[in-house]
Amino acid sequence: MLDKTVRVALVTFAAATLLMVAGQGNAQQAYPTKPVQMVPAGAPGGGLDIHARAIEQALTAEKMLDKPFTVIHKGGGGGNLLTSYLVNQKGNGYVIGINSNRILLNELMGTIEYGFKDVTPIVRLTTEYNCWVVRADSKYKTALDVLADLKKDPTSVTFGVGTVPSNDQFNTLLPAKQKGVDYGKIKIVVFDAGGDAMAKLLGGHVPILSTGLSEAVTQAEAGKVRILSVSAASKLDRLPNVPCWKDLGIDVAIYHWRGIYGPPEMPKVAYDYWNKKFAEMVKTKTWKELLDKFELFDAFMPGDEFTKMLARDNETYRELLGPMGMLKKVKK
Amino acid sequence: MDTLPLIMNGFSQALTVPNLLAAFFGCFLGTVVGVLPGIGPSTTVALMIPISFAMNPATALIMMMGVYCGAMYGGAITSILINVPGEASSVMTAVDGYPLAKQGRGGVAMVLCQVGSFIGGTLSIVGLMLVALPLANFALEFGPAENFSVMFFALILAATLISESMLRGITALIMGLILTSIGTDLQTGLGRLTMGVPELLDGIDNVVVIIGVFGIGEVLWYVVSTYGKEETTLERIGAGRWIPNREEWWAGLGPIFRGSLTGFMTGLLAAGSVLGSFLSYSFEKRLSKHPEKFGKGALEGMVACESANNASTGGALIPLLTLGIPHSGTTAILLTVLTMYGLKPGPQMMIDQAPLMWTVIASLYIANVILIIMNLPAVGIFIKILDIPLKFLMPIILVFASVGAFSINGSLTDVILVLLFGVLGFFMRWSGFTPVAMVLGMVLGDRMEQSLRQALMLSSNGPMILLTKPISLAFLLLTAAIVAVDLMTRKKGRIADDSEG
Repeated sequence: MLDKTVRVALVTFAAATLLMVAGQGNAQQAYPTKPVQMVPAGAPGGGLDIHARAIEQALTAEKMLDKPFTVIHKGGGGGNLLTSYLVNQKGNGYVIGINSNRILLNELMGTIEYGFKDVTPIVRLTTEYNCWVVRADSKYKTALDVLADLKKDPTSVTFGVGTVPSNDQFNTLLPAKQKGVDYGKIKIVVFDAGGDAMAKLLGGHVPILSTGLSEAVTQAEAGKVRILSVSAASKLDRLPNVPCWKDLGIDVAIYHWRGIYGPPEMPKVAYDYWNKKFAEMVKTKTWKELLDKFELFDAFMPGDEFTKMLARDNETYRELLGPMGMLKKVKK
Repeated sequence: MDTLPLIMNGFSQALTVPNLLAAFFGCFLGTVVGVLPGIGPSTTVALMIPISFAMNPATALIMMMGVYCGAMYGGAITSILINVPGEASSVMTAVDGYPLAKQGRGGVAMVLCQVGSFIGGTLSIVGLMLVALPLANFALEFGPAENFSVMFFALILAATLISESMLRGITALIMGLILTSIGTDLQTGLGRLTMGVPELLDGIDNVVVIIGVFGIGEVLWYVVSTYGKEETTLERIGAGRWIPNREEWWAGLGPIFRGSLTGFMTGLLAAGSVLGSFLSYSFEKRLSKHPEKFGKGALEGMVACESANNASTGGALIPLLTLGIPHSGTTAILLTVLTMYGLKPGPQMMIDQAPLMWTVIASLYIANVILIIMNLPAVGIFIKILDIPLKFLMPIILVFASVGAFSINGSLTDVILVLLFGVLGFFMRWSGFTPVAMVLGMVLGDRMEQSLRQALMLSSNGPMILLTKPISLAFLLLTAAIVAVDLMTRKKGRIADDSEG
């Protein structure tokens, strides 16, 4: 009796094992077969978390989600915790991270030894733009007035920004550099992110901000501030009266982008899958609606282009941060 | 301003069944979050974002307001019962609340804190409705120089009170200032004192230090002080009575109203709830006829502190609602939520979105009412914790504090840090240093430093900016006057060790 039971059990077990192995064989082609970890490099409620939620929402609403996401936050260390997490997940196709250009900046400044080359850039997804904004009663009517003052004396105008190093900062330095300003001497004061800088501008404590566009727009609509320039490559439909840098004869465009990264040596099937998936997602109606809602702009760029762009940006940043004394000391 | 029809409409919107349920759920969740050290209201509200997609904006916002208010109520409970303040703004509650519990007046302390919270919370909403606009503009007057001077004022005011020995007080304060400078420097983006640990780039969370020096420190103190004593002892604190007597009500009354006012005003500024709780405690100690009892179980400071941190909610919402500018962690996330519903937070919000905004304000009232009804009877349950024999309670505190530390960022580094700070807290107490002074330096130091540097960079004539700005000058003169009075009367502040019973 017992013998028989054991034998049946063994046969069943063997059959089940075989089936499972066969299933595994198929899985080599099929991706994904289990939930994928999506890891924003920021805390819940922040900009990168919003991206994770939006991606999840768009793919779900458009019935394009093959396996659910598990969202895990790696908010610490200015994005470094995500980067080291990805590096540790080498070869894993089931982890994707969301981060901004901090992946370049942190390596340049030496807060981490890994950079974009140590992970797999998958796609660039969205962007925001930066702008120069002054109080409605400011003497500055155009960005060129400000640049003319800076040219005379780079310390004559103090800029407020939300954080350094950042696109807020580059949006100050790059136009100034083009106009021949001694940009290393420009005074940049950092306020806490999240509205503090705007409060200080409205209170008249700082003459001009270089900041994210979305927070400036509602204040401008209320007539409290004036937006002098926007960092987009061409004028924005939403702001027909605000010139971009090119309109002012300055060859600068700054994208405050967010991109998707995978672990190093990510399997090709996973890399291709996400490149295709995101390319399809950005065309959907739900995604476009979500972008409008969060005041983001589409900036989709497939993996190969994205990687090239990262290499270019890395050099630009290196050049800019050098005179500011912000580059990593010693080595290399 | 035709606010009356608007507010009536707001109440009718907020009092529907689904919205009331949402408010109730939010209040309950908020209280739980407030009780648990570590995870705070801002994280909770952020974690609710996905759930809120399924709700209409009013319901979701009402629920979140419940969490915001509830967390402020809950913070007092662990401070009093087990000496574990879950937030920087309830540190001063623990300083007197825990000694009160040890004297068998823990229930009384909790009841008075709940009542203070209710009055503080409610008054601040009235303030929000009546004077939001002028106050918002007044808040804008506070630039870096003004912020620095206010915090300097708060720091000196509190520091001269806390320590018996000037040297020890200042040493502890400096330790706090050193701790707060760990992390990424805002102005340069470079790491300071991080010793190559990536987790330290974000600095050490204030709550980690607080849970460590207070909670774990208390456990270690117990272990060492009972070492070698009779093993079978079932010594416990004991619940005691929990209905305040007439004398206690009277003692609490003034502090509640003064604390509410301080909290409401400081709520307008960044770091408002912390600033408000420390300032109101200091005011009470100075006004008191028996300042020597402070830190050993005086009701006044504790009640003022709790009223203040609840009153700060109304103040903190003013810049958000009238200008679209968030000041604190929680209001920043509320801003995100508003954006998610397609609202454009900005100066026009109170006008364009008037019905929704007034519904939110009405729901704040309702949240406070729900909370007082829900929490007063709960005092009777919570107080039972004090009936647990100390030798069982202490390990529970240890677990509670460690889990709390872990829940902040889900990081094991924080758990290790909390234990290290526990050891530090023990040795500080052993050698007569006050952890409160260190915490004070830590929670205010960071913003003080940044404000000073911002002010100096913006100034065209160096440090003179602190004297040429009228508000800044006023606070500096006030600080100088207080120090001068203290020196002349030689009235030394007495020690307010965190838990000397």
